[in-house]
Amino acid sequence: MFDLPISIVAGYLGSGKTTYINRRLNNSGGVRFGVLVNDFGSLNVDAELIEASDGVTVALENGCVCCSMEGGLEQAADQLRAIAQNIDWVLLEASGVADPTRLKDRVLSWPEFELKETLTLVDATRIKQLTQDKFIAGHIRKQLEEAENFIITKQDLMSSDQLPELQTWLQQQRVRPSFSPEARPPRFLAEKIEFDEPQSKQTLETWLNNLDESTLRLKGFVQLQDQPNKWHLVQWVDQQWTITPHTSSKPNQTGLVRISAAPRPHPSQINPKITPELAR
Amino acid sequence: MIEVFTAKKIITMNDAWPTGTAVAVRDGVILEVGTIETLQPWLSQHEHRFNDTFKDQIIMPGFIDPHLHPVMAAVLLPMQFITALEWKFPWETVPATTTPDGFKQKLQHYHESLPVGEPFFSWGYHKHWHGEIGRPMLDKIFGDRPTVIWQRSFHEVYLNTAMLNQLGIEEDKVRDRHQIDYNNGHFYENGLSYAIGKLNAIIMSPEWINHGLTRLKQLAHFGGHTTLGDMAVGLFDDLIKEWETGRAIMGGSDAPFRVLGVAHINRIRAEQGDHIKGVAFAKTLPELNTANYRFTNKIKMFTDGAFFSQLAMLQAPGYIDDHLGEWLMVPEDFEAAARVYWNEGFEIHVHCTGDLGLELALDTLEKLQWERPRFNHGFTIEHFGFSTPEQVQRIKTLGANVSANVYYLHELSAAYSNVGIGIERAHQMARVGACEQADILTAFHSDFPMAPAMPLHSAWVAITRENCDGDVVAPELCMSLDRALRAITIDAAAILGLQNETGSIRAGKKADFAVLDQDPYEVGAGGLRDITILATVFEGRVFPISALDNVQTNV
Repeated sequence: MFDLPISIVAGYLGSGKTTYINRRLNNSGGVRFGVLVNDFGSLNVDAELIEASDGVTVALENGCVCCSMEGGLEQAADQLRAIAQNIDWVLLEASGVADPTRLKDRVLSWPEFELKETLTLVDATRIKQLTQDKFIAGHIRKQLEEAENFIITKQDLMSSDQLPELQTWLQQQRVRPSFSPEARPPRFLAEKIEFDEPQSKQTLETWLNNLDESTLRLKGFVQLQDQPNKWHLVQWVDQQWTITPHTSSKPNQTGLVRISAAPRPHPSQINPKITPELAR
Repeated sequence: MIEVFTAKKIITMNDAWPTGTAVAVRDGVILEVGTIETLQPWLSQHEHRFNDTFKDQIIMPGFIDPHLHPVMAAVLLPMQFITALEWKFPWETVPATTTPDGFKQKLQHYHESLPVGEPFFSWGYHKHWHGEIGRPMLDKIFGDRPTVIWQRSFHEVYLNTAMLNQLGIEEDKVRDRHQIDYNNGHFYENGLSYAIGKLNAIIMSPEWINHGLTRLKQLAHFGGHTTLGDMAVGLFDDLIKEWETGRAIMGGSDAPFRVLGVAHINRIRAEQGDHIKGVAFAKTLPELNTANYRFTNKIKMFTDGAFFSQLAMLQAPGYIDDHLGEWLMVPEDFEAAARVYWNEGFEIHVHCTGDLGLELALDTLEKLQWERPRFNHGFTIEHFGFSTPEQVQRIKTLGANVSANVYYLHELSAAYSNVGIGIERAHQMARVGACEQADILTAFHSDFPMAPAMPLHSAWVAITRENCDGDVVAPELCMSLDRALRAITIDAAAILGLQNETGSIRAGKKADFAVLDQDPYEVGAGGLRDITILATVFEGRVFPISALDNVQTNV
């Protein structure tokens, strides 16, 4: 019920996946990210940024790649499961030549994770040429065909009339309806909620039932009026919640963390520019 | 002391000195092969003794499997095989089980013969033969015994309730998941990886792996091998740890073979950070060498995905159902990595299954030759599943070698004709006859556990091109008997860069022999699979294959 939300970030080499992930980490708004890098041996995501946001990076260094590059994914996912309490959201950086359908199927089969969105990054200057490449044309075309949301990078290298033309062209490459028509917005806000004093269980329940509709998840530790010596774990996702007795000693972090869909900044504030609406 | 082995016939695989009836050996090295009479100049001057154990047998060079995966084999081999086809092992002959009732009886039998509580692992189940199974049926047979039934393709597994509980797989976590059927304990395709993640605690445990490696050692000896190539050290684990795990079991003084390791480029990159640091590290690996467990200047790379999973990358027109294969390395990363190792003088072995994967390897090699020409560069195409006639010419022109898994065509040519790529291309898989015509250095490997580690069986497949339905596919691509025998001896040695040390019987080489009950040149292709391997000799020491083990090589 309280699966870890996960976003797939797809796109070929040089399309800006790492930059994009680093930027999200930079603007984490308090969200603790786990980052999975599905590219055997490469780890360009800024580890310090992740640590600064209390998140973790798991590179896919283990696993058998004799059959498939995805061999190490499962072990990495297991590492994240083990520390799920300390993570709010997972970003999976797909390999540059990942087959998005296969990768989605893989993630959908994972217990304790919930696939929230798939983002496809395209390099404005290179994407058309890549769809003709001798070796990777098939994978690039499939990434475009199956994309839910495009993010066009390196727009600053294009002239103003080239961009609309590229957007139209990208729309034409898509052959399938969106896998998740209500893909979550890609930016989040985490806020810390601390009650001044222990609440009654009834008050807390009422509050949980009436959380703001922008809420994506909420979790943390609280004390209840009738059991002041006990800490309770509160978890909320998709309008469902639980309150479970946890421990009598004070947890490292108390209070609740609410993650919500953040208002989207104006595109000019972001570099490289993003246009997630394009695929809708 | 010189030891003279006598034989009915010694087949040297040295074209210039093809046969003999006696071979003189001192300190593990061949002094001369010929007859007792021609050896006299040696024998009259040095102390010697005769060993006539094999006087009525045929001696060939010890066989060489240049590409298998010890740790992967070690995961599988401790399991109880219950299979639709017969498998012969040194420790047992697994009879064919072809009916649902027969399969059930086998399960019942193993349950009753095992100590209480000991987990049971089986491999080889296939619905086509063994009918539907599921958790309720396994619970009924096995009760509290944790049980795993692994499907023949490796892509599905069934667990009983006791095993689900032992692994901590909880219903509410997996109930609604893609490709997991909790009620039946069935985990398949993507869902399988979750089960494997949990099962790793058992099947990757030191006890399990050591048992598996011990069995692999027996199995390799049973197949007549005196040299093996571990063609991706670091496939599963920390590179040095994996190497030392293998060496502890297979590298002792009691081992009847040598192992040449080729390190996995991506493992090195992951451990060292990048390919520049990686190649520097790879150069230090020979410091770990013992006499018969060695690294040289080789590196293992990968282009495209598994042949058995139809993840090979194909040129147009691709797969019939339009699915894509998979790149195991991003093509531009592949080229950049190859350049680093090429320029440092490494011999690059490339896992290539499809013709587009092969094209990437050859395009890369051509660029590297343009930038920095090399002779005797040892660039080797591994597996060689799908290819075109034009690519074979290019392999020749660029000076590359081929190490082929010919078993593909035996097991898969019929299936892939119908589901996959159509008959024209399916029948031309493993194009080794064309390699012979182009005079490309060509070896056979098992990729065990992907195919049986039975070199004479591989040779039989290459010569006859007979598939599992008994049909001959693309007979124009059949290999000659002589070339096929070279592909498991001297040419396989050359693939590993050991051609001056082993692979043929000539003065100066290590005394590595396989002792056969019949002459392959006399029995011909049709009789190859009926030849019995009686013993091996490794560096002059005799390693008999015991009477109990002494079954035919036919699978």
